[in-house]
Amino acid sequence: MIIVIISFILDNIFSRLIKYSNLLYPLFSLLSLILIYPYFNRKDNNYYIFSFIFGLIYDITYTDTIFLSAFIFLSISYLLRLIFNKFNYNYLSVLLSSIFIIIYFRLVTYLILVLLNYLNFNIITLISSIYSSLILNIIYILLVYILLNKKILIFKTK
Amino acid sequence: MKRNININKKVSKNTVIIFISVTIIIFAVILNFVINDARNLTFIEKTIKDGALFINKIFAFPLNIINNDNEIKKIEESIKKQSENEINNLKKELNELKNNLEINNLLSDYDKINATVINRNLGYFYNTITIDKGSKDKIKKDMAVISSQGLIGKVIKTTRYNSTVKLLTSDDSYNKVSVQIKVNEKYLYGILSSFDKENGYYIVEGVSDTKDIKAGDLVSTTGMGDIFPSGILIGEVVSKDLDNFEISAIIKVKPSININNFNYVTVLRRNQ
Repeated sequence: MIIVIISFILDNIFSRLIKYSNLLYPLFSLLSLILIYPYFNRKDNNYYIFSFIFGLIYDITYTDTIFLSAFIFLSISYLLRLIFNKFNYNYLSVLLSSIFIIIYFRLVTYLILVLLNYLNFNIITLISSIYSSLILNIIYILLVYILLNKKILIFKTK
Repeated sequence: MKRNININKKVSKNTVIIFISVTIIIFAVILNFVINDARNLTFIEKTIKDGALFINKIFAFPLNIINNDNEIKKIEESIKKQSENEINNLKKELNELKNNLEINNLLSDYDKINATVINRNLGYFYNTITIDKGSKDKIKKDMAVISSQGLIGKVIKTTRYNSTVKLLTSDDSYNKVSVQIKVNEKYLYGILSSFDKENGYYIVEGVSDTKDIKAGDLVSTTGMGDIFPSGILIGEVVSKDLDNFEISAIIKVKPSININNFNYVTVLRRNQ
């Protein structure tokens, strides 16, 4: 829970880093969904409800569309459950699934917004948004994963 | 006795298909009402947004203090150019007024409200910023937002303590501004229609006579079209070019603002 709140606030603070470089877009709230997965002890319904509500709050503060992010966060939590049922929860799978989630999130929001004629269809925006949000988020998730190692060991032994 | 966690229920295919299609339809209907720049936020949205951004502001407060010194120097340097432009515009308006004495308000009358940027470019595909003044400070939709260097964008949504500003450098086609280019002693009029993200230029179309336009001419708003007040600096001309179909001339304008770097902005309110 604390991880989620901290990610949320850091998202805001790190969005100011854009003035230093074009490649530093933060998406920490999205990655916190991966990081809180061990805390739910396989109670999947709670995980889904939590990610839906978190998506709703993320939506209302940072963008002004209500349910779009909420449903996408819900689908991402379902995908994460599928992934972590098959694979172990170690640093490599966390890294790869975070890259996968970032690409999925950008792609789905881009497609839905283009379908609704809110954005013009320009594939360069899609590609540039993906590669510019990769670096910072990978560093963040590796750091936080190392910090949370203890709890994850407990999770793995269950 | 332990119960099995995974009980395989037999759910018929039809109910699953109906369920999925109903959720997609409800989703599409909700999105249709929600993704719209011109909509007003509901009360619940406003309270949640204000609460969350208030918490964010507490944590971002130390960073603002650190950034302060650099900002002041930059603001002093760039005010010079903006005031040069304003003086030219005022001279033009006074000349017109001498010929026509029946005007109720000048196109360049406005009040200024200062605000700080809370979070930057975090909306979809980085077209919007959030500032910390809202409807409590009498900010309404469609007000112009400038920095010390020039025009940034316009307000699209307000809550009680915060507002969302759509940047002029966003890619969609809802952002047309009527502009004037100062060529020697006269003004030519055109429409700023889009922003070229790869090269970083605004594209101005519809100018009737482009032969006297040279690089370095100042481009500012006209005040017609009832959204932006007149005389606000937008940028400088870089070059002339032909459009995609090679029929008419377009003019590339370099923005006067530093696209990624502004912390303090001013909202302009027309005196009605």
